[in-house]
Amino acid sequence: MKQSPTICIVDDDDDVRSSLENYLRSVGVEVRSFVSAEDFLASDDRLDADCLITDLHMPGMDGMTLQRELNKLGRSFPVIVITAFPTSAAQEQSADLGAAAFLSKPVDPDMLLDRVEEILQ
Amino acid sequence: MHSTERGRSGAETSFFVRRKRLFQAAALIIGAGIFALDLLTPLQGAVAVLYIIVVLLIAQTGGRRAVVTSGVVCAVLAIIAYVAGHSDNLFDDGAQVRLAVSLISILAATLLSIRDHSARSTLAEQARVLELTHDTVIIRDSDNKILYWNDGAEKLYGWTRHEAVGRTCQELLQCQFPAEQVALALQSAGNWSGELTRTRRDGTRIVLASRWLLRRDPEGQGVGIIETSADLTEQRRADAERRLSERRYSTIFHAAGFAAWESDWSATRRHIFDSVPAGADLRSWMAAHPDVVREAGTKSAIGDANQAAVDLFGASDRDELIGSNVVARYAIGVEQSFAEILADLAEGADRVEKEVRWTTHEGRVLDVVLRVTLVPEGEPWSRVLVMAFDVTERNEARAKLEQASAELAHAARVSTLGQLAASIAHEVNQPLAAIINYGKSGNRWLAREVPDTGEAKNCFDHIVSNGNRAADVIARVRSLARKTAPQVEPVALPALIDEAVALVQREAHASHVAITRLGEDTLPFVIGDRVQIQQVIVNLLMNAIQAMRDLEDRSRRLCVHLETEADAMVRVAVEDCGTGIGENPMRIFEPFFTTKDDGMGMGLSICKSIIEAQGGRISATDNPGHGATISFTLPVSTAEPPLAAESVHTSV
Repeated sequence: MKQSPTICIVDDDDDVRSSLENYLRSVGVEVRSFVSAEDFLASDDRLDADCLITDLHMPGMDGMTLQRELNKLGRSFPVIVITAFPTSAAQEQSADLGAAAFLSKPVDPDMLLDRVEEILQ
Repeated sequence: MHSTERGRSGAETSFFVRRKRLFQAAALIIGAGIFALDLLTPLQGAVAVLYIIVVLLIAQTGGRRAVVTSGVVCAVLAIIAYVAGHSDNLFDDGAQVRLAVSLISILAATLLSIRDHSARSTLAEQARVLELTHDTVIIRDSDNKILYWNDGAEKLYGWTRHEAVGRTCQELLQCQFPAEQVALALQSAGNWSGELTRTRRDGTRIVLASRWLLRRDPEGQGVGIIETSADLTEQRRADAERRLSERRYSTIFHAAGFAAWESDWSATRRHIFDSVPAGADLRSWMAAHPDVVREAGTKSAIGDANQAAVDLFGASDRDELIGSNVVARYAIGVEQSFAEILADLAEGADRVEKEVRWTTHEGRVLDVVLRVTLVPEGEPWSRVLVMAFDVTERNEARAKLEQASAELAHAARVSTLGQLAASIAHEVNQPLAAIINYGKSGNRWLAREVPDTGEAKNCFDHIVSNGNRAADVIARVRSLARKTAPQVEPVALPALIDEAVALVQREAHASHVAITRLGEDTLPFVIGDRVQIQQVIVNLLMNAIQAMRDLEDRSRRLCVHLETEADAMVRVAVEDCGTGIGENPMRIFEPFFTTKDDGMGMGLSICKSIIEAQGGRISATDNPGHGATISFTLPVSTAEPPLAAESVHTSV
């Protein structure tokens, strides 16, 4: 993992988003968090992202559509999906869209960190 | 040929009246002159013979009575003159003979004039017929000069009698006709009929249907032509209009987007009426004799059908339908609907509308709304117009809609567990995830070389607040559960199970699963939450039905067993003959375990929670043969006496 990669988090739930952000900060990683997929797409930070962690079920644009949009725009970073509804259909669809991982909430943050490290290598 | 006075125009009438007066005056003068001559002259001739001139003159203008009167008057005058002239020798032979000759000649002239008058009257009558007809009558001589021109000719051609008589037909009317053909016909047969074109006075050309007859003199020589013609123009126009109207109707008929065909049902009607015994009620008799109805139906014959009808019946082209009938094309459903339509028509309806379902010999099903109209023409039921509107698609869509809405309502009832689970999962997962994150995060902050207690404290605060958030969710769910679930009470399991079976009836039926409830004759009440227990049973039944969904080689049987167990428990076992669970059957009760593509795996784990909360146990085992059995126990209620359970209850 490069020195201080930038991880982006997209989740509409405030507690989940800020807790994850807090954790990653405590690890010493650069974090940017967004309340919605639209915000993420509109921001310039997107271009600095080394990894994206996103929820699936969000008001407005959902996680699948975000993945699709990113694919269309041509993304250069891996996507990790975290969701409270881990159906096999969703897992398949996500994998088809190129997700690097598909995890169910509540996710052990240490485990998540390990996966991120793995993926970024 | 002379015309009668009646029916003349005003000017002509006065002309004839003048002529009449003239002749009468002449007759009078001549009569007077003859009388004077007869009386006064010493001539030995039969002067009185000259009275026939008077009679003849009167005959030209007067009627029968006038002629007779004049004859009588002349005779009297002759006698008077004789008596006056021969007063001294009345019986002079010579004078008597002369008187007699005179009288005889006056008589003869009178009688002949009367006869002539009659003949002329008859002729005049006959001639009047020619005036009455709308057709034109023209008589020409051998030079084609017009001798007679009737009213009809005046009206049609626009030339009056005076203008026409004397002129040649050709110059007046510019006839166009096949001259050679006509001449030949007249020569050989003496008559010709055909069409010709003429020009009217105003210049318009008209087409006429004409008949020519050759006039012959007593020696048989042709002396002219009698012609009668009828104007075809009007008829032509009416014909053309009718053809146009028919073409328009035909276009509409054939272009219509719905099927329409015309059929002759007169033979059908006869067959039915001949077959039905006198006094029998037609409707019920036909219902009882479908074979007769079918046979009668085969006697109907389609006269014309539009393209939409051809498509509806799946025929290759219109010719396939013409002469054939509808009944023969369909195997099922025709006799009944046909009988009803026939009965309605026989009762006097001239229009019948009916929705029918017909099945072809190949098994193709057709839902059609038929509209049958009787066209009152000729023999009864010889023209039947049928219009058909294909509603198969509409019915299919409607059925799908009904099914979808029923499914929706049904799903709402049998999937409460899943939905509840989904909402719990989501609501609780979020704060739980946050708690874990903050917990681990806090650890890390404190594990740094220089522990960041500020950050750690922040994490602890967040842990607490998220814990509270989760607690709120639980509290809400609990109050929700309290609202929908009545308190614990004695529950009769057999009835509860029957209700649960009724709830899943549609699914069972659609999957061809037979559900049987087996059990002991007497079964005690159990203690528990009625709604929740039913939810568990419904869930187990649905799982069992779905477990057998793909079975091909054996019948799908689902048995619900009820029995009491030792230690005051009742066992409910749901047994299927599906594929079974495999190793470690108890794993199905774990949360998120599912074999379904879209399953969340919450149902059975919730069932487990519910049963265990009621004081029972749930378990799963594979059957020795096929399938699995999931059973749960519930404690017996001490409140109510045991209930006499119903015996085997089967439902499909």
